[in-house]
Amino acid sequence: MMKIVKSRIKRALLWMMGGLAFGAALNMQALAAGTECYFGSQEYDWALGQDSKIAVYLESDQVVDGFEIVVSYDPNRLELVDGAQVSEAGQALIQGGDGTRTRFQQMLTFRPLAAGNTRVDFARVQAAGGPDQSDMTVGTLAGAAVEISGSDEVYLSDLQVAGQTVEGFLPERFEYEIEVPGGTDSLEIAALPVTGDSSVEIDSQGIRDGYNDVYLRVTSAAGKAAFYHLSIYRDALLPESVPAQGTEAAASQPAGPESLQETLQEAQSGQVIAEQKHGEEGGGFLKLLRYIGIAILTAVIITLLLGIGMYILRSLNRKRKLKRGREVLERIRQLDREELYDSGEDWESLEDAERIETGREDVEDLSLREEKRAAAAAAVKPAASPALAAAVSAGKPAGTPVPVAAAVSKPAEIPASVAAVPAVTAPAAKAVPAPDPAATASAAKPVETPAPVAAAPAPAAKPAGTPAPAAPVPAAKPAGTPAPAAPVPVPKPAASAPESVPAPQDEVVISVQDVTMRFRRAQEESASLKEFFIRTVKRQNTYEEFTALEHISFDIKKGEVIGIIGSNGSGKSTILKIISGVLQPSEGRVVTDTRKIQLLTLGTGFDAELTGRENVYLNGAIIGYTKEYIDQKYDSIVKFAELEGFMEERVKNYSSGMVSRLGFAIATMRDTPEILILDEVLSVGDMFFQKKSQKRIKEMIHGGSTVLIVTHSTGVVTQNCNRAIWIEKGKLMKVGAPAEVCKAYTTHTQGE
Amino acid sequence: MYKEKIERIQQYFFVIRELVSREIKRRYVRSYLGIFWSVLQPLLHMAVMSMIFSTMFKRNVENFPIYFLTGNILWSLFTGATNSAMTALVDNKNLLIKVKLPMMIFPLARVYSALVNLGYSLVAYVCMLIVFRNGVHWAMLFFPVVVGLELLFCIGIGNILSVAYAFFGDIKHLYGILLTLWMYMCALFYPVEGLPDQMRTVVMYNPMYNYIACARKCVMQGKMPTAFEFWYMVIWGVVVFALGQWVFNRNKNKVMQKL
Repeated sequence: MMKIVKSRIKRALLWMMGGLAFGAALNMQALAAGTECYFGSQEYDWALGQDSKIAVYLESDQVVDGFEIVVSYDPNRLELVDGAQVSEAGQALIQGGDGTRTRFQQMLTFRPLAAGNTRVDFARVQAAGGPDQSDMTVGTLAGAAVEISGSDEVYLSDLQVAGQTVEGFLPERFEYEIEVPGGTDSLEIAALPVTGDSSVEIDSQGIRDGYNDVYLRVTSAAGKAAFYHLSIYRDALLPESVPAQGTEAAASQPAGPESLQETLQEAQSGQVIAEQKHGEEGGGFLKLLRYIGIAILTAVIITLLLGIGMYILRSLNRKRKLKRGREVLERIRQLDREELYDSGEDWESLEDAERIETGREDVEDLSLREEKRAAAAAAVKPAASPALAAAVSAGKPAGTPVPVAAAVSKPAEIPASVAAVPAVTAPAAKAVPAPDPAATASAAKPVETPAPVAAAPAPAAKPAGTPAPAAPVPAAKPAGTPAPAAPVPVPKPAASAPESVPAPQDEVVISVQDVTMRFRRAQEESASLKEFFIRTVKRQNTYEEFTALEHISFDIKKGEVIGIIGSNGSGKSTILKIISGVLQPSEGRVVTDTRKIQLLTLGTGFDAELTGRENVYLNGAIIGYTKEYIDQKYDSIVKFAELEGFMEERVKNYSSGMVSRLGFAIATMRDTPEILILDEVLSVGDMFFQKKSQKRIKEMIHGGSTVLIVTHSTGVVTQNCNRAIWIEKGKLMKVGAPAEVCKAYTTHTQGE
Repeated sequence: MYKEKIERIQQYFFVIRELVSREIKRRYVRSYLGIFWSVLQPLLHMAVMSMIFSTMFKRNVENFPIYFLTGNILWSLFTGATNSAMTALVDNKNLLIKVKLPMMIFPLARVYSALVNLGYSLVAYVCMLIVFRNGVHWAMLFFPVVVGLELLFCIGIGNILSVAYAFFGDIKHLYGILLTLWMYMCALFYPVEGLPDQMRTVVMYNPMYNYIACARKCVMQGKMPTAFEFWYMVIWGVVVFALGQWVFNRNKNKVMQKL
């Protein structure tokens, strides 16, 4: 319920976001509404004496009937050559508008008269237009900065204020910011042109608190000019800090270009220029630096604080960690010991020995199967209609459909309740020490008791069960067999897998029809583009066809357990990939419902750097579980893998046995799928773990799914399967009973 | 049927999230500060970058550090996404062969991881916006839309590259050079106005520049992109995305065989 609500909310949010985006797109026009006037750029670099262009744009969202733009400029620096009328000095007038367009462009041509920095701005913009031909409001009237470069004849080679070269002085830089101490009454400004015959004029109107503008005009003999701009900032005066020097300097140095030049000459010839630190160079720049400094400082402080915090946390955790680490090592060592012990024995003999030694394992196995059966029998009930159809086809007396359905569902209920009895009692029996013969007998007893009960509904249950294979058919079987075997401690028939495998149905679930798989392999692999192109051009790109599978056909029926054997590289895995839909065959086709197929692989995508818990989620996601499902099954996965207490440990610290156990636990922790494909799953891991996994797989097989097992081991095939397929070098060699096929396979491999 | 489909897509999202979280966890697995680096690193990177670009390459662009950083985070999203998506199929070869997942999940996961990185960078970016006193505008809400459209563009390119890379390892080196060229075409650290006319047209019609310019517009000036810019973004995003899907689906089988 919550999930549905959640997904609804999510969907609603998505729609809202989509709507917003769409609305934004529609509103774009409205938001960009209004009229704008701007220059092509916000800054221009021009050269003295060279005619230069500047574009003026007017853009509106409506048709403009008429407009008037006045561009202001400094007539001392720039001369308007073309593009507009000069309405008065320093004002260029542009008129236009034709009632059809929304965008206008006008090129203005200026001739720079003096080097230096100046601006071109909009003094006034008026436009009229739109549907009602009304005046438009014109937005953002950003001007443009113009920097006019000159040449040596108008440059200064030195610029001094109060006997000191201005910080950052460069001949081609025209703007300077200077700070002087409070109380300075007049300034000693000295400027030296690069060429001797140029003259310098200083335009200064005394000095006040705050910012003062001083312009220096350099005029060459040829009449060219440049403007240098000094922006001088004087601090507000504090009464007691009047520097005596300042007044002295003011008294002795009258302002004026000629005398200034003299002072400069004097200074150069011998006077020692006092070294005085200029506090700041440029206000804006400095501010910027300060901000960056703050940003870096904050970042560094955060880093340090976090580092210290982490360090403290770590050292606090250290003791615990060390302890846990020791525990881990201990466990791993222990496991290794077990592995050593286990690998000393043969797998088959181990199982046999165990089987004879006690009947415990089998009883447990039986109880598990009983559980499955109960579940399957319960599943018959809702599936009443297919059961009905089956009953009719089985040749039951054809009455009205309703009573037949009733008759079918009723016995189906009975085995369910009966089967539940041994399932409950079996664990109780297990608790009693196994070797005791009395206890073994009592363990067998619950199996015995349902026999007569189960026998009664058996004939009715048989036809009813056809769509659910696992249910009544095997239920009837043990009912008959354990009864005579009960006094014997080894109920062998129940233990050997092939006999207990449910009888296959006629419904074909996988149909492989004349499948051929070819891999195109370049004869000489062109690993680089260059080679590839050369080959293509020379038509040398010949491919070698490698046939992995050749005209393979077989059908797999529902409920079958099929073993696919073959030596390495014979195409076993390829056929599995084709069946599961990972690969597409070159020829032929596979008819199956790929959604029902579950490919079981171990530890796919395990990451050694992550912890066990993280790997459960990662691996689970890749295999196809949802997050909720993993959340729900997490505990049982950990329990099955016997990794309690290790889940927060990194997988790289696990032993290989632990890794495969975890992988297996994740892979098999699902409800039994309809079609299960096992790719070499049964031959992975140590002996200790193989036993356990074998049991789990048997459980899944008995759950009623169709199973495909790929393996090298003939033992696995004869034990588990009811049909075997042998593929050799891409060809289908033999299909048939497992024992037969395995025999042929072994003789073939030995013959080679 | 419909519900099933949604469930499956949810499952794929889960896979993508898990793949991405693996990558992120892996990246910081040996460091003390771990996940904090994801925010710290872009923050420091941005501090250094703004220092370099405001002192060494000072231009008369208003608020130059923000101008640069806005472009840079979008550009990093693009390079990060396409570069890693390119190798996605080859890197996950084992998974691809063994597991029944749609192949496209892998490049998508890489793009998603680049998006997560962008998320971390955004934290740093917001810090920088505050430090450099960038105002708050309503148009900033449009920023995610720009990112979304750029993402479509990235997915398309990433898909194409991942397929191409499966066939030719050379693509990786070639693409690196192409990216350098492309970066200079994106006006990351210079104003477009300063360019000669021809170059300017080239840059203006560069789809990546368009995304960057739109983002700058809405973050720095608080203006919405013009209708032309908007549709230009949409068309590039959707067309490249569709092209990527087409190329990918067409070559899916061949890639599988090659791997």
